[in-house]
Amino acid sequence: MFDFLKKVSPAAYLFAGSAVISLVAMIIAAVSCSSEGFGMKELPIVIVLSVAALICGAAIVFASGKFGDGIVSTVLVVAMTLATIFCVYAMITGKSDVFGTVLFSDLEKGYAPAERACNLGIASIVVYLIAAVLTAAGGFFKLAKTDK
Amino acid sequence: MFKKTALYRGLTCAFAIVLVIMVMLALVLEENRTMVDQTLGTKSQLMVTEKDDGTLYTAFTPDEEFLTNGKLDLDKDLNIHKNLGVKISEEGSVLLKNQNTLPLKEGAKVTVLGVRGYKSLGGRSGSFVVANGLKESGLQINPTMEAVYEPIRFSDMAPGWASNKTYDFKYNPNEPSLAELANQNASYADSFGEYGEAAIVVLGRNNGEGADYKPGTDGVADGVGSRTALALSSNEKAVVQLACDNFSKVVVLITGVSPMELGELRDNDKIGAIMYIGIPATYGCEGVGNLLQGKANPSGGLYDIYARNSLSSPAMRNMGHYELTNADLITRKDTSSVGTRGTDPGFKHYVIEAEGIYVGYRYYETRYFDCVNGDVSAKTKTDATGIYEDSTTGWNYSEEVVWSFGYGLSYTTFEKKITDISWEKTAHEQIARVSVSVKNTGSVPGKTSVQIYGQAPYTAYDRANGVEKSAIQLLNFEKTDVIPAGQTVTVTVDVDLQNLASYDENGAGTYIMENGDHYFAVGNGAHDALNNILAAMGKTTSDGMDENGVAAAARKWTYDTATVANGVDDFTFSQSKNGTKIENRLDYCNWNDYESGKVTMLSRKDWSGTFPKTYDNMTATELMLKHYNGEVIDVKTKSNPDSEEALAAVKFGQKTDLKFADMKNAEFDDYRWEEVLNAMSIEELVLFCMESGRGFAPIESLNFPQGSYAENGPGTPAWIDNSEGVTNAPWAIEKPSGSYSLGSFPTYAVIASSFNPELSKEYGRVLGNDSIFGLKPMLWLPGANIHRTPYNGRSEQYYSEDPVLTGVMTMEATIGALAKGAIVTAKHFAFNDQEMHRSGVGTFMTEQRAREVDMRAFQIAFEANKYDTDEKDVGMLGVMTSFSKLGGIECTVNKGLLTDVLAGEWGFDGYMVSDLKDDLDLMPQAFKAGLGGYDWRTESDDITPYRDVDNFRFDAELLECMKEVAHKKMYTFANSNFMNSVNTTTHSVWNMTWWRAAYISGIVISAVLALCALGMLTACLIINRKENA
Repeated sequence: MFDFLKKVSPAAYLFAGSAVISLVAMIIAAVSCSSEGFGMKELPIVIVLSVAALICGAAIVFASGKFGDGIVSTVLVVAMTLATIFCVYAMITGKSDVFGTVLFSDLEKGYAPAERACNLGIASIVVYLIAAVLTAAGGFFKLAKTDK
Repeated sequence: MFKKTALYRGLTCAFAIVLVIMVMLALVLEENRTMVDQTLGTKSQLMVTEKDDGTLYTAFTPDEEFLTNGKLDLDKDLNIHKNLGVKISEEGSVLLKNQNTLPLKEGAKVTVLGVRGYKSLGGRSGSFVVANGLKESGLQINPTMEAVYEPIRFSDMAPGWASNKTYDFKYNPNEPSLAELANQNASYADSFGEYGEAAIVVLGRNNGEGADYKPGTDGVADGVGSRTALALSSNEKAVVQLACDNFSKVVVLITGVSPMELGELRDNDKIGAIMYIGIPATYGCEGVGNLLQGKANPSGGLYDIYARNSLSSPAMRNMGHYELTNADLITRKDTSSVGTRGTDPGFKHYVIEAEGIYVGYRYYETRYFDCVNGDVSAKTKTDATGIYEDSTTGWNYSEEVVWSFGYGLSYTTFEKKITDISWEKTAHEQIARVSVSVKNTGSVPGKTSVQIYGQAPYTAYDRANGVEKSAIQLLNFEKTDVIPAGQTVTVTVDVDLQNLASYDENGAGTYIMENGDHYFAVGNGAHDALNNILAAMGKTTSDGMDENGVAAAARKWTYDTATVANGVDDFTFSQSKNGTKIENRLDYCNWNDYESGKVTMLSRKDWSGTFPKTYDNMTATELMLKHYNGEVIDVKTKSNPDSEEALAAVKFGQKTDLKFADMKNAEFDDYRWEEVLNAMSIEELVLFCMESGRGFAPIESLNFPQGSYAENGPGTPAWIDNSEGVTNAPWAIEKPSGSYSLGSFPTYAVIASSFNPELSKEYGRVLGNDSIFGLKPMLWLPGANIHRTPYNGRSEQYYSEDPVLTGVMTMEATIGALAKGAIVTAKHFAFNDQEMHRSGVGTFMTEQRAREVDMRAFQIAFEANKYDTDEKDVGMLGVMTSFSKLGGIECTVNKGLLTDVLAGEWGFDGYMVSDLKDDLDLMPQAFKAGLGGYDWRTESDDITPYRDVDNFRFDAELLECMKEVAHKKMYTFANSNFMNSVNTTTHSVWNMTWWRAAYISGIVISAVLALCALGMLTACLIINRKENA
C-alpha cells in the first residue's frame, strides 16, 4: 500500500480528492432531491456523471503509472473535469425552480422542505465546483512519478 | 514549448470549466430573462416602434400631481405614497377599547414594550418598525427599552402549517421573557419613570402566503403557554402585566390580521386602551402615532369578528388537513411550484365547509338572534369538550365574542338614525336608498362609517328548502367627512337589494326574496345593528339581549308581492345585471352532489342538531375520483381527433392589414376582432394563449410584442424603481438611483377596516399611476377571498370575512386603477379558504354558500365595475383563478364557475389567468372552460411539453375556445395603458444588454482559449508520442 502511495504523483492526490468530493456532492444532491415534491429529473444524469468522474479519477490514480502523461490519462483528466462541471450544470438546471421560489420570491421562503432542497442543492453545486477545480488543478501536474 | 503537456492539459481543463460555466450562465440568464431584467434594471427585449404616428402615450396619462414639468417627480411620488399610507392607517386602525386613556398628549414620553414594537415584522409587507413610526409621529420613545430590545434576536414566526411535511408545525410568537429583558439591562424598569406617560404594548401575529396556523394546542410550541397559536403566550401576558404594574396608562396595539384571542385584555381594567393597527407596513405606523396623540381621530371598524376562542366558529370544525381514504387512486400530479408541490398535495385532500353561509359574524350574530327569540337549539351548547366554546352554561354570545364585525370607537361619539328609505329601479338593479342622520354627540370632530345592515325573514319555506339566512348582514357602507362636534349630517347609502335576496338552490334554483318583514339597520358594527333590529322588533334585555338597542336606528320593510306563489318571489332577482338567467351552475360543489345525504350543513332550523362535525376519513366516489384525476371536460386528441372538415373550418393565417394596435380601445364585439383572430397561425394562438403571467408570447403576424407586462403585488407596489418602463414616454425620467425605493401600503385588512370606499379608490388610483410609470399594465391584485377562519395564513392579502366589505373595497380599488388603464387582476377566484394543501384541495360547500359568501365579493367588483359606473363599461379586465378545487373540480376547469357565472352572469370579458403554473396538465380543458392562460414566472423548460401544439390541434371546439381566449386577452390589453407604448409599427426585438455582452464575450474568449490549449495539448501529445517511439 505504502509502496503504491510512494509511486503516485501529487496530482493523483488531487484526482483522488476530486473523486471523493464528487461522491460527496452526489450524495448531497440525492438528499436534496429526497423530499416529496422536490425531486429532480436531472438527478439520474448527475449520478451517472458523478460515477463517471469517480471511475475516471480512480483510473487516473491507479493507471497513471502505466499510461504516464499520455493520451489516455489526458483524456481521462479532461473527461473527469467535464463530468464534474456538467454535474454543476445539471444541478443548476434541475434546481432552478426551487432556487426561484426560495431565493428570489417569498413563495417558499420559510417552507422547510423547500429550503432544505434549495440549501442542499447549493451545497452540492459548490462541492461539485470544488471537485472540478481540483481536477483541473491536477491537470497541471505530471500524472505519474515514474515519468521523472 | 511543445513539451509542456501538463501545462496545456491543465489549461484545457481550466478553460473548459470556464466555457461550461459561461454557457451555463448564459442559459440560466436567458431562461430567467424577465427576472434578471427586473433585478438588474436591464431590457433584454425592446419594444421598437418604427414610426411615431402621434398616438403613442395618449391612451392613458398619469395624474398631474405626480409630475413636475410633465416629468415624473420622485419626491412627489414618494410623498403621495407616504401620505396615502399614513391616511390608510389613520382611518383603518380600530380603537377597540378606551377608558379615558387616549388620546395621549402630543409628544408624550412613552415606553414601548413587546418585541413587535421594535423588530421588523415579516411577511410580504416589507420591513417596518412600529416604534420608528411612532417616533416619526412625534412621540418620544423610551431609549432604554429600545436598547434592551435591540440585541434580542427575533424571528417573527409565520404560520407554517401547509402540507404533509409540516403536519407537526408548532407556532411560537417568540416574545422574549422578562428574564431575557433583564439580561440585557437588569435595571431597565428605572427608565419607566421618565417615559411614564404611557406604556404602549405591541402584540401580534404574522401572516404569510403558503401556510396556516395549526389550530389547537397541537399547533403551539412547547413552553409558549397558550391554548392556541392565536391566544396570548405566557411571555406576552407577562409583558402586559409589566406594563400594568408600572404605568398608569396602558395601551395595547394589536398588529397582524388573524384575529387573536383578546378577551382577557378587554376585561383587564388596568389596560386603558386597545387599538387594532393591522399591518401598517412602511408608512402606516406614523398614522398610528397620530391616532394615539389625537392628531387624527379613530374611525375604523373591525374587518373580522374577534371571538374569545379562535376555535369556536363552526368553520373551525373542518379546517386543515383531511386526506381521502382512497387517495391512492388519485394519480394526477401537481404542476404548480408552490409549497405543497408535486405529490403531497391537495390533490388528495378536501375540506367540507359544513358551516354553510355562517362564516364569521354571520354565525355568532344569527345564533344570538335566535337565542333572543327563544330558540332552544341555539342556546344549547354544541361542544362538550370545552375546546371549542367558552360559554359556561348554554351558548352565550357575550362569552363567545369579544368584539363584533364592524365595531370601532372614536374619541367622540355619534348617534345614527335611519331617516328615510327610498326605492329605485335602475337598468341593472333594484336599489334601496337609505338615508342616515349622523350626529356628532361628542366634543371633538370626527369621521365615522355608516354601515347599513339588513335582515331577511327566516321562513317556513326556508326551513323546508334548506335556504339559510343570516340574521344580520352588511349591505353597503359609506364614510362621512369630518363632522364637527355637535353637528349632524345626512348620509345616503345605496343598497343593491340582490344582496338581501337569498340563493335557493334546492327550490327555485335562483335568488328569491320572500314576502315578510325585512329590516335595515345602522349600528356600530354588526352586533349593534342587530340589537337595533331587535329593538325595532320590541325586544329588550329581558328577552336575553346583552344590551338594549335603538329602534330608530332600524327600519322595517315589508316585502309583499301579491303576485308570487307561496310568498316566494323567484323572479325579481333571478336575472343578473346583464340580463342573464341566474340558475344553479356549480355542479359538484357540494359533497352531497356526489353522495346524497353524506354531509349535514349547519342550519338555523336546528343549531345543535346540525352543528358541523369534523368530516375526516371521507372516501371519494368514483365520479369524484375522475374529477380529482382531472377528467372533467372531454378533449379530442391525436388518437381521437375531430374530423378534418371540422378542424379545417377553424381559420388560421388569413391575410389581414390589421395589426394589434389598430384595436386600441376597441369594443369587445368590434367586428374587426374576427379578422385579427383569423390572422394568427395555430402556433401563435397556442403560445399566446398559454404564455401569460410575466412573459407574454408575441404574435408576429399582428405585431403584438413579446414582453413582461404583469407584476405581483399583495397590495404593495415597490417596483417602479426597478421597472422596465419605456424611457421615451413624455413623463419618463432616468432610472432612479439605488437609494430610491417605494415602500408598502398597509395591508388589505386595514383598508377594509377604514370602511372608506374612497380610500380604496385612491389606493387603486395610485397603483394605476404606478402602472403607467412602470409600464406594468397588469397588476395581480387585489385579493378578494374571504377570511373563512382566523387561521388562514394568507388573510393578510384579503380584506375581510364579509363579502360586501371585500367586494366594495375590491371594486373601488379597481375603479381607481382602471381609470389609469391598469389591468387589475382580482384573485383568487375562488375558494382559497385555507393554505393547507392549497394546491388543489377540494373545497366542498353548498351553492348558496358559494354564491352568497365567497363569490359575492368578486361579483360585486365585477358587476359593479361593468354596470354601475359612469366609466366606459369595460368592467374589470382581469381575474386570477385559485389553486383549489370547487368540490372535486379544479377552479381552472370549472366551466360553470368561469364561463356560466363569471363570463355569463357577470359579463366578464377580460383576461383570466391561473396561478403560478397551476393545472398546466389541464390546459386544453381549462381553455374549454374559459380560462385565458396560466401564470408563469420564468422561461424554464419544464412547461414545454404542455404548450406543444399537438395538445390542442385536434379539437375544433377547443381551438375556437382558444380563439375566444385570445380575443379576451387582446381586448384586455387593447383597453389598458399597455396601448400607451404600441402602435401598428411596434414590434419586439432582441437587445444586447451588458450581461448578454458579458456572457457572449466570456463564451467566445473561453472557447478560443480552450481550443488553443487543446490544440497545444494535442500537439504535445503527438510530439511526445513520436519522441517516445
